[in-house]
Amino acid sequence: MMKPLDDVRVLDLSWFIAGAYGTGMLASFGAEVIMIEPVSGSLMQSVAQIDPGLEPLSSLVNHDKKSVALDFNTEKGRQILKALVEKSDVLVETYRPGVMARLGLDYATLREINPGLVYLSQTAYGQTGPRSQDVGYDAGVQATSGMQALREQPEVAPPVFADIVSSVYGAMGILFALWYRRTSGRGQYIDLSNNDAMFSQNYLSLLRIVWEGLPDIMISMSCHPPRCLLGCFRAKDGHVVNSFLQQEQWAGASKAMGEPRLLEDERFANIISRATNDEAACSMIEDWTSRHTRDEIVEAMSQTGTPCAKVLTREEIAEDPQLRSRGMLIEINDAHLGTVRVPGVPFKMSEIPAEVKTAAPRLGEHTVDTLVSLLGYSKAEVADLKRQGVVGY
Amino acid sequence: MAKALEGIVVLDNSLYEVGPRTTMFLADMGATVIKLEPPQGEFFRTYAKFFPTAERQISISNRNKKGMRLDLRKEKAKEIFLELVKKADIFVEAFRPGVAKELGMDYETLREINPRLIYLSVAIYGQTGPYHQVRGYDIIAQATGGMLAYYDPPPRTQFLPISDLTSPVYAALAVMLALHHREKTGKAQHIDLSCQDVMYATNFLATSYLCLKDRVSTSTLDCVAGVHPHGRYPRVLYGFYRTKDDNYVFVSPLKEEHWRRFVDVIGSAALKNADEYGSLLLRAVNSDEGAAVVAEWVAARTREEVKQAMDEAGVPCEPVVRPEELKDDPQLNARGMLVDVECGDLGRYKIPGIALKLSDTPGSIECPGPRLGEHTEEILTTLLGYSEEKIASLKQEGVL
Repeated sequence: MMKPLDDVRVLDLSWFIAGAYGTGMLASFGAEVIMIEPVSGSLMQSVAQIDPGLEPLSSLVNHDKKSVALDFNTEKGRQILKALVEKSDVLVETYRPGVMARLGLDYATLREINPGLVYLSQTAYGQTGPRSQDVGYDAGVQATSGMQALREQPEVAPPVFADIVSSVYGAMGILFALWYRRTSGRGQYIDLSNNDAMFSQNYLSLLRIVWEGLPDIMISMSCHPPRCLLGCFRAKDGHVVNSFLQQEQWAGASKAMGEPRLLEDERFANIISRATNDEAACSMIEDWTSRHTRDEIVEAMSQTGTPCAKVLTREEIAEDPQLRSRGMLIEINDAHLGTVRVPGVPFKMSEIPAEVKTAAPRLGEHTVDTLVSLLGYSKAEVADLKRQGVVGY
Repeated sequence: MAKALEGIVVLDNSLYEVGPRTTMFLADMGATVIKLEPPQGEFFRTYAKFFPTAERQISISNRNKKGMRLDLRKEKAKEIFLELVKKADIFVEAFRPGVAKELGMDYETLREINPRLIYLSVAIYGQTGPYHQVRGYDIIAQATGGMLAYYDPPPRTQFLPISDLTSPVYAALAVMLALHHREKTGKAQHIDLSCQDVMYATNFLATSYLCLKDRVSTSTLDCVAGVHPHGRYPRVLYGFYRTKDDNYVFVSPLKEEHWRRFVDVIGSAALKNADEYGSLLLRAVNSDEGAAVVAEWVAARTREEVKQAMDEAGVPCEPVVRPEELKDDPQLNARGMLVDVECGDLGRYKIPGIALKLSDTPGSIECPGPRLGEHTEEILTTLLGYSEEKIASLKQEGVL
């Protein structure tokens, strides 16, 4: 079956999740993604050295990709990379701003070789601005984009988020650029800052900015509502989340819980008074939820049409019937790694089923094949390059 | 300057955030996005009854769009709608599964009218599966996508509507894939996006847990896919601390060179003990004791002082920026992430800029979100070629 990106070749110079997650999405839709990895191995290989059991982790982002091990700190290595650029459509890199220019591999240089090249630099803070040279970790970006300050426990490192979502921005940007190239014939440079992307995802802050001057209560009610209206409650066997923002949902909750006081008590008469008396309302709600199982709660709420769901644990997600039925729990059979469990693509397209087929490649698995079939090297030449440490396999 | 999506017409019949933010990405790149609203307008507009400037909220996800007010319960309005469908490349809906069919605007019906129409449906659980009819909002997708499982107990309140904000990024990507596919094959298609699927796919805890369980030791699993407070990243290597001025900082001496300088800055003999902190693995194992020393050091200094000391030593460190500080943040301002707009009685205000920086087709913010029905006549004239008389008579009949 024809796929939308089966004529697109991507050189992926990214390290771990940032960048790589986005090119993984492109690979699912037919792009030939060639990872360019250091001959000594990338971060993933060093992680697997700590514990070989960690090796399958790479497949979460590097499924359906190829691996060429290449040292482009050497002149010969750079020549090979440039030859690959000539034959490619997209290059993705995540080095600190300035590194690619120092190696003579920046956009200005590579566009001379291939004017149609789409070149994505994805870094923590982008190529410009006072933080552009900072070492950017995922949690650092969550700190500077205003996300961490919103979490209930700002002293606890947040889960990985910025690297992943920003990478989808990157994939989107690549498709915009390829779309423009279709008619213009021109490639272009994309300067993606994870911090910019996360700021764009921080709706509370965006509201605060456009609503400057309006009462704080409006801003927090719109995005950070009190727990009694939108929150998490303890059940007998775990937790549930409720969404009681609208009047009929509040009434539905009251009915489901058999708790008429939620409606009769004037402290809960409207959305503002509920917010003001959040603690009292929450203790009433939790008094009921903690005496019931999650299934009982969800069932009772659904009887009155009130949104409510179980908080799934990581173990339960693995078994969730909805995710299973949607093809989100994929098992790849890999000759070397055995069964590797990876997530599916979170949207279904009627004409182009996304495919997650092969586990992450071994380091340099496609070095010989790529150099021989794509660049016309002989096998002896590749072996010679290996002896010189320019390539690996 | 050229725009990447010039000439693409998007008909957006969705409300709230997921659909509108999807089409925002397209509008930023030059697509003509027609935002359909019912006569009373988008839900957000109701705040404007209390505070007129509250309507500025529409700018966050609807800048660069054309606003059209149409009462689709009226037969003549429905005809206009179908004429718009004929001109559109992309249609977006966010009804509960099944509702679009009841309204006569499901994929099968609209593709008959326009075989080139790419049709995007966004829903909390998608269009299929055992839960697809269950009602839900953002927090429900977070809970069922495992986003609340990072902490035990889970957070008591919503941190951000991250499902509503993340799903559109994937949805816009899907739309672009469909456009590329249509260009190659001539075939349009239906895209079925589930917010729960999105939460799961972005959820590294859940996906790495599933990938690694039964393969690594419990302590390794806890480090990669752990649930706080029993597991997750060692704080002394990758941690947050409270400062003297009630702020927080992030400090991460993960690399060997950073660690050495970090230990010098903190100046604690304990952290120099090679038996306890001589390697990455030892630092991870003894993280709690080490982090307690660091926490004490940080607590005696302001956020600014900590940042300065770490910067001077070359140790990765970032301030936890409070929401109210972002507007003046030097990095975001240097990147053009805050844009001034002016809009009639809404006055002059700032709105977020375009995150994706494309060199040749950067896109631009031409106008803030449309006022209710602001472009109804313009669209009828320019896109459908209606005459003034025809528009006047539609007005008279109460269709517009």
